[in-house]
Amino acid sequence: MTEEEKIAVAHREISRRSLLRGGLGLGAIAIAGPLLAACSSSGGSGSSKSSSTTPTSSSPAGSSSAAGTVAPGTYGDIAVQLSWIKNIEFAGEFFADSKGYYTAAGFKSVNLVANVGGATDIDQSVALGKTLVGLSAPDSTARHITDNGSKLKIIASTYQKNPFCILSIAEHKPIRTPADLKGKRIAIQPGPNQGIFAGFLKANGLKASDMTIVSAGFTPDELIAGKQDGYMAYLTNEPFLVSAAKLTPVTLGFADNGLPLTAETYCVLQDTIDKKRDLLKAFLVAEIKGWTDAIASPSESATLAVTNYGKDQKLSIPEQTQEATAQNDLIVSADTKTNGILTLTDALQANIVKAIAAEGITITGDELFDMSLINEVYKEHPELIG
Amino acid sequence: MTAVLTPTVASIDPGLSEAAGSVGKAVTKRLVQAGLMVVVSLIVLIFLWWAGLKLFGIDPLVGKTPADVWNYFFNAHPKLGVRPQSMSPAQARSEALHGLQTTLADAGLGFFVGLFVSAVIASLFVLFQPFEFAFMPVALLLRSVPLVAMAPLILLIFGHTKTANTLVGTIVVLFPALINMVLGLRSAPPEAIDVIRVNGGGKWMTLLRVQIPSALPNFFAAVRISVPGAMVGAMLAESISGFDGFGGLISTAHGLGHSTEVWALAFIGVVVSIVLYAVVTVIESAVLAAWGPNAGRR
Repeated sequence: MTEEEKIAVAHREISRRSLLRGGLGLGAIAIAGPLLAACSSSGGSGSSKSSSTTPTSSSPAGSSSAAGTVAPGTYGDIAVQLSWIKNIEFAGEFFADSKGYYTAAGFKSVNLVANVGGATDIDQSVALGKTLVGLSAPDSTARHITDNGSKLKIIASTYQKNPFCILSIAEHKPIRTPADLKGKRIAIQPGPNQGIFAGFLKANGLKASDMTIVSAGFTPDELIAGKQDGYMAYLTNEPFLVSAAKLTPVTLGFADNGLPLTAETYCVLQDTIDKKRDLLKAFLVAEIKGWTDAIASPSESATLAVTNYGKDQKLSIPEQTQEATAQNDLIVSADTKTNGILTLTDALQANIVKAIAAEGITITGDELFDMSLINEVYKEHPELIG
Repeated sequence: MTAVLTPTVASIDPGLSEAAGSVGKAVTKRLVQAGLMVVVSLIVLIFLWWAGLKLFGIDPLVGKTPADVWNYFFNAHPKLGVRPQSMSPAQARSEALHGLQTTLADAGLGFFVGLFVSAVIASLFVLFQPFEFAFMPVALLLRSVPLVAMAPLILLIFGHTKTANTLVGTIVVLFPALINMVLGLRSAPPEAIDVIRVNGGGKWMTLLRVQIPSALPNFFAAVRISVPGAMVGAMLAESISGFDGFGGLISTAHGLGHSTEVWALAFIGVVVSIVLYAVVTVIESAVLAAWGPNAGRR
C-alpha cells in the first residue's frame, strides 16, 4: 500500500511539475515566437529551403523556422505509421493529437496509422512514401538501408532501452536466464522480431537449434494456455496480459542481456530531412509535448488509448495504466533528463550499432542516425527539456 | 435380354487386350500437350508479371521483376535491393530448395489425406443416402468459412504441428473433391448398373464395377483442382504456424522487407503448382485410357 501511495504521490508531483512547465513553456514560445520569426530571414539553409517548398510561403512570418509560430495548417496533412495497434505505446501521439499540439505546430491533420495484426512493414511504408514518419526499430531501419538501398534515417527515439523480453510463466516453465531457453518452445513473431531474437541469441552464445522456435500469434494466448514456453514480447505490454490471466509473468529482458537496442524510433526519408526539415522539427516539437504529457499521466494515457484512439481494440483501463507506468522506465532515463526525451546520446547510438552488428547488419552510426533535428529543436526550445 | 448383352461384353474384351497400346498412345499425346502447356503458361506468366508491374507503375522497391528474381538466385553481385548483403546465391538457392521440400511434404500430406477422405465420404454418400444429408452441411460449412479465418483456429486447437498443417490442406482439398466425386459416382450409366443388378450384384459390386470407373473423369477433375489448392493450403498453414516451408519463408522475408525473396518464392510456388497440374493430366490420361468409362474405344 505504502508503495502505491508513494507512486501516486510521485505522479501527482510530476503532473504538477509538468503543468508548471507547460505554462512556462507556452509563455516562452509566445515571447520567442516573434523574435525568431524576425531572425528567420537570415536563417540557415534548412529553413530557406523549406520556405520554397511550403505552399503558404507568401507570408514571411508563416514560413519561418519551426521555432516560430507558423500559419495554421502550413504543413498540411501528414501520416504517421505506428508500429503496433493503438495502445498506450503511442500515448504521446494521442496527446499531441487530442491536445492540439500537432495543429499548434502547423499541421492541418496528422493521420496515425495503426499496424493491425503486425502485418505492415513500417520502414517500407516510409520508403514508399505512403507515410511520412514511421515508428520502427533501429535494426529494421538499418536492414532497409543496407539490403534495399532505402534512403532512411532515424531522427529520434521514444524508447531509450530495448523493450523486448522473453515472457514466460512461473507456474509453467519459467525462463529466467538465457541458458533456460535451451529445449524450450519459443514463439516469435515473423519479420523484424526474428532478426532481433537472432541477435539476442548470438549475444548470449546460443543457437536457434538449442530450442524450438515457432511463429507467435498476435496475442500470448498460446503461452497462457501452456502450448508455448516463451513468447517474445514487450516488457510493457504482454506481461500484464499474463497477470490479467491470474498467472505470474517471468521476463528475460533483452536490454539487460547483451542487446541494448532501442525501439519506437522515428524513421523518415533523407529526402524529407533535406526538403521538409522545418516540418519534421515542428512535428518533433509536438511529439515532445505529447510525450511529456503522456509521461506525466499514465492514467490519462490509458484513458486516451482505451476510450478514444484504440476503442476498437477493447483494451482495459487498469491494464493500460500499468503498461503506461512501466513504459515510462523505457522512455525516461538519466540521459533524457539532461538532453530531453526522444533524444539518443552518441554512446547509445554506438551501442545500437554494435547490437545491430550482432544481427549481421553492418552499418555506421552516421548512416543510420541524424539527431541534428531534435538537437536543434531543444536548442531552440530549451524549455521542453524536463 | 442376355442376347442383347452378350455383344456388349464381347466388345469389352478385345478393348482390354488393345488397352496397352492405346494407353501408350494417350500418354505420349498428353505428355507433349502437358509439356507445351507448362512452357506456354510460363511465358504468359512472366509476360503478365512484367506487364503488370509496368502497367500499374509499381515501385521497384516492392515490385520485383523476373530479372530480379533470376539475379536473386544466380547473380553473385546483384544490384542493391535484390538480395541481402549477407546472403550468397548458393544460400538463396538452398534456402528455397529446403523450403520447397517442406511445402511439398505439407501439401502432399494434405492432398492425399484430403482425396482419401473425400473418396471415402463420396462412396458412403452413394451407398447410404441418409449419410449425405447428415454430412453435406458440415462439408459446406468447411467450405464457406474462409480458410484464412479458419486456419488460425485450427492451429490454435492442434498447436503448431504437422497435424494442423495437414488438416488445413485436407480442408482445402475436401469440398471440391467431394462434390466432383459424388457427381461422378452418380453419373454411372443406369444400363450398366442394371447389368450388375440383373446378374445378382449388390451395392458394393455396383460401386466397384460401374460407379467408380465412371467417376474417374470427375475424380481427376477434382485432383486437378486440388493440386494448387493443397499448395495454397500448405503455404497458408506454414505462414501462420512457423518459419519453415514457403509460407514461413515468405512471411519472414516480407517482414524483413526482402521483397525479391517474396517474389522468387511465390513464383516458384506457382511454377511447381503448374508442373504438378501437368503431371496430373498425364497420369489422368493414362488411367482413363486404361480404366475410364471410354477405355478401349479409341
